[in-house]
Amino acid sequence: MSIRRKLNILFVLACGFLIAGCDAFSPPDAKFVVREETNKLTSDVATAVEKELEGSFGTPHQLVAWLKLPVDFGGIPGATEESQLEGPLNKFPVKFDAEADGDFISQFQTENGSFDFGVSGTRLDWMTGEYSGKSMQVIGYDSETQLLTTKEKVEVPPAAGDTFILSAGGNLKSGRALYMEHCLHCHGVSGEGNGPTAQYLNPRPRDYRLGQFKFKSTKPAEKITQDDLGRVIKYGIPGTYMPSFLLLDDEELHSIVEYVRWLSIRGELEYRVDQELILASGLTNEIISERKADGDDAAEIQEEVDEAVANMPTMFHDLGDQLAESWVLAEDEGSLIVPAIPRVEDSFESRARGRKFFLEKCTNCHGHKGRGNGTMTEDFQKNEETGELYAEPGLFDIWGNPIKPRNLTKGLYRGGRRPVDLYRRFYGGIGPSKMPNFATTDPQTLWDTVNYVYHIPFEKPGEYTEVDREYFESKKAAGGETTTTGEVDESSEEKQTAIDSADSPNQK
Amino acid sequence: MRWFWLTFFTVCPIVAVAFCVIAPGMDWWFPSEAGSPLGERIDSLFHLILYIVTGTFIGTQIAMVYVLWKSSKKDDTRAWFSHGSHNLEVIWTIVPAGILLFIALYQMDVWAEFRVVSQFPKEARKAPVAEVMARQFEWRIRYPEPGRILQIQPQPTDLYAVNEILVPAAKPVMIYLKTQDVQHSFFLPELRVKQDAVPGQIIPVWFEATKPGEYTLVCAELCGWGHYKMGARVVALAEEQFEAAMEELAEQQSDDGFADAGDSDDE
Amino acid sequence: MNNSSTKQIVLLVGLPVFVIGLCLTGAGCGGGANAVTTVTLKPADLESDGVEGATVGGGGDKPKTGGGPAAGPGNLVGRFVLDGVAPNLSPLVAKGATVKDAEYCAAEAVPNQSLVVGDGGGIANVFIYLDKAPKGYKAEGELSELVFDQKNCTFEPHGLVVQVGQTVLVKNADGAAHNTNMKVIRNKSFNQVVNGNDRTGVPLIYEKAEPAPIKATCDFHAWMGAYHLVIDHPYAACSKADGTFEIKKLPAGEYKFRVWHESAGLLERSLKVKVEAGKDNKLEQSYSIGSFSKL
Repeated sequence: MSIRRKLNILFVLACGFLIAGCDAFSPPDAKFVVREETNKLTSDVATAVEKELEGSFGTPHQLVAWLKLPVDFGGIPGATEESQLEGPLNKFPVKFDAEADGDFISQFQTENGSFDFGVSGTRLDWMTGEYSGKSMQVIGYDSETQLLTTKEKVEVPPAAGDTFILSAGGNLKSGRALYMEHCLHCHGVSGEGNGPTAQYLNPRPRDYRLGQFKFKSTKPAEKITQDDLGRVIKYGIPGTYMPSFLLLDDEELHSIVEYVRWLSIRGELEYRVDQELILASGLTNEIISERKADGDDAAEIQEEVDEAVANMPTMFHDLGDQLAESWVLAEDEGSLIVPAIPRVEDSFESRARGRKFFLEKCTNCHGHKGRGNGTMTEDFQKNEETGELYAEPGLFDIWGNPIKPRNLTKGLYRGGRRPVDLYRRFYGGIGPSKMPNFATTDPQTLWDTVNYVYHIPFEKPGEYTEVDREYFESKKAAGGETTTTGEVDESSEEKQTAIDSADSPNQK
Repeated sequence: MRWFWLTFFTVCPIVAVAFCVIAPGMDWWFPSEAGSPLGERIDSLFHLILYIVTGTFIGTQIAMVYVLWKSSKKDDTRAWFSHGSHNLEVIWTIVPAGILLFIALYQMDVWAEFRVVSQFPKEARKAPVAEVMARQFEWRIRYPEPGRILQIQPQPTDLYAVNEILVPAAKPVMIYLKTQDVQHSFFLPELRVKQDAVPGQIIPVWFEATKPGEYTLVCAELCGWGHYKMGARVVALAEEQFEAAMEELAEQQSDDGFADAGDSDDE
Repeated sequence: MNNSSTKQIVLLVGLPVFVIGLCLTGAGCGGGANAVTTVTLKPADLESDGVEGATVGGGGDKPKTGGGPAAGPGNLVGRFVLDGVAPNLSPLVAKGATVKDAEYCAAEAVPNQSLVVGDGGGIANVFIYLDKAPKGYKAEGELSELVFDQKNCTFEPHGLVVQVGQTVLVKNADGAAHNTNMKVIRNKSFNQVVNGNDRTGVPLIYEKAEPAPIKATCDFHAWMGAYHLVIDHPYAACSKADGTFEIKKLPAGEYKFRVWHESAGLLERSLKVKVEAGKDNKLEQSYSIGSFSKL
């Protein structure tokens, strides 16, 4: 074989590998991540959990809109009216829900007043009545007779009052597409905070699956609101890799927020189901083999497993209801943290009071000067889940990532820098990162502390020396030592970071 | 074969010039009409160079096609061997050099006005409107409080925004460009402004938006995996609207949440 | 150069380039964000979903747990004993140590209560309880208030049995504020500051039973810990300092009890106990030190 021949063959082979490697015709399939705990369950139960999850939420390409959830899946709800027509027919008189009517008009009406449902029609899903659970394709609408025309003909016309949803799931689909485009690479397919770029980021992207978020405006026990999520997406979180998506329009923002909530509900549902199955029923491989070793009857154990599997849909519905309730409650007026008094005017006296409160409550984590180097950052903390001490000193958040208390001298406020945002951080705390809440502290003191905290980056050396002295002396007078050395820091050689221009605060 | 190459080299330049001529009409040209006076001057410089270059191009292409055509004829004439021509070489060195020198001198004032701080319009220099801090992958803006001058050091009264710069229209404005991490570039295509943001430096950049409107701001220096989506907008508003917008921003930033019990606090 | 070698070069270079071009265009299409997606609807309630519902959690149907209400009640009295030598655990905070609020927290040494063994080997703070309320159980009568206090930066009591709907008053006998944080599983989070010398107490009411005892911690003082067993029936107890416990008025029948200790987890998942009416049914359980693996 000549050299040329060999080279030819080599090139043909290389091209072959290139085509195969390019994967041009089979893009990787996105899948929802299965929790570690689900994998620990015994196989029958784990399979049942995964099956139920897929039935309730679907896969990233075949979504399931579970109507129980308080997520705006998109779609225009309506109901049929009394019909004089007899079957077989494909025209039904309908009326759309009051709020949705406007959506219907804006989505489907063309400029000349007719209605366009696209080349292949728009999907209509029947919710109740004869055709409940079935879908049809809508191809026309007459605004005078209010008759909706479908592709399919039916023998029996739907009864008056049968409900349906037109173009269901549109919002979920667009939310998904936008999420995959903008958010997936950090937050991951399931919102687990472990996308391809996540490994390079500190702090890590949020893992939605515990249903907890840090920067919210609701009371400590409540969930985050749609507005809060919208704010985070719109304005980003300064000091982290979460950028601002200001250029998205309101509709796109809404779709993404809804999709994030949907992912969070899915993740939290799996989490809670796992907790029930592990803590209440003990159906993990480890526990079951332990029980068998202890002499428990294998048939009994199998019965428990079978019961759990049979009960799975009910468990999902119950937990789904609970989660739905908690998300709805978050939007309630009563869940919002609203300061009881307007902001106390910023003055030295107010800040002095704030400083005293700060010394009392905050220095453990945030440090004597607010640099985020308090004593708790040097102690080994205990991991509540495992009962063991963490390998490194310092604080850890609920997702197991090491975190540092905020360095307040930087003037960088991740959750927003309006006075109300700071107030909410104090009042509500930041649950996931172990910042305690001060809901029981009086509003005046909270505002004083807000004033003090705002001023920290601009503090002059020695400005609070007298205030500190007063505080420590009053403590001594009350008896006993305190943690902080009790010495008033009179050194003026400590540079205030606000002066250092290379390290500009406020913009990180 | 010869006729093929002859046709090829005749047709291609003609097509190129044709495309260039129809491009503006097909919207394959600049993003828009230059939105700033300086931008218009930059555009006219660009056009000047384009005309010079096009003229040169047409000239050289005609020469090349002529040579190709002449030599493609089946001819038994012996080729004429040139030993080089000193004069020709002098001509075709001096003329281009002269053209380049002309271009260099002609554009000097536009360049200076854009790049040399002492040549910036006085009113822009005196009152910078914002500090724009580029970071991966967004633009963080710091405004002075309405009525105050922007300081290099952040002030307690400063206002903050992200990805949206409010500027007054129809007057020169200046921003301080900084970067928090790596190199970025402040690029306003419609206003023909581009300035790299270099870590450790505070770079003044001025521009003027002739008409009120929204202008795209993009990053023009590869800064990481999110470079492609580092977009923002510059919103130029008429004077009173600008002042009103800044007042509103100041109000929003000092929102203490007391008044809107029950309202959704959007913004 | 001759024609055939030109052709070769064209093939050698052109073909791969052409193929690469094809691949790249192919790779750009389909998949990812713009893949075709479908949405299916799942109805909101159980019945439409085609599920025959039975409630989950609480109200157990297992005949093994229940006894008939016809049989009279008996008591379950017993003791947990440690088989082996009790470990000597050093205090969590030494007396006089420099910790936060040392004037209260280091006034006395804070004992390590991970395994409290009394004289005679009795293990304290062991929870014994029924996993689910027995069949036919109905809550009756008012529930008393319980007190959960904090003194010298230690929770008192260390183990508390709480019924659903019962008010627990979280009090503070120290001058410094504590932040009581309950690590709830099913319930809504309780994370409240209890101010110094608060003798009225912050009310804590659980709405759901918890599948296992939950831990109480203090965000200000990291060493503080205690456990609440939250159940929806009264058939549970926490062993005292001498290891004894008593569960009163259990309807007669056969039960499966769970036994739990913080340093062991579940000591018993389904301890079979027969309760006879009208008498003190005795239960003596002994555990070796090896069972307490979480120490």
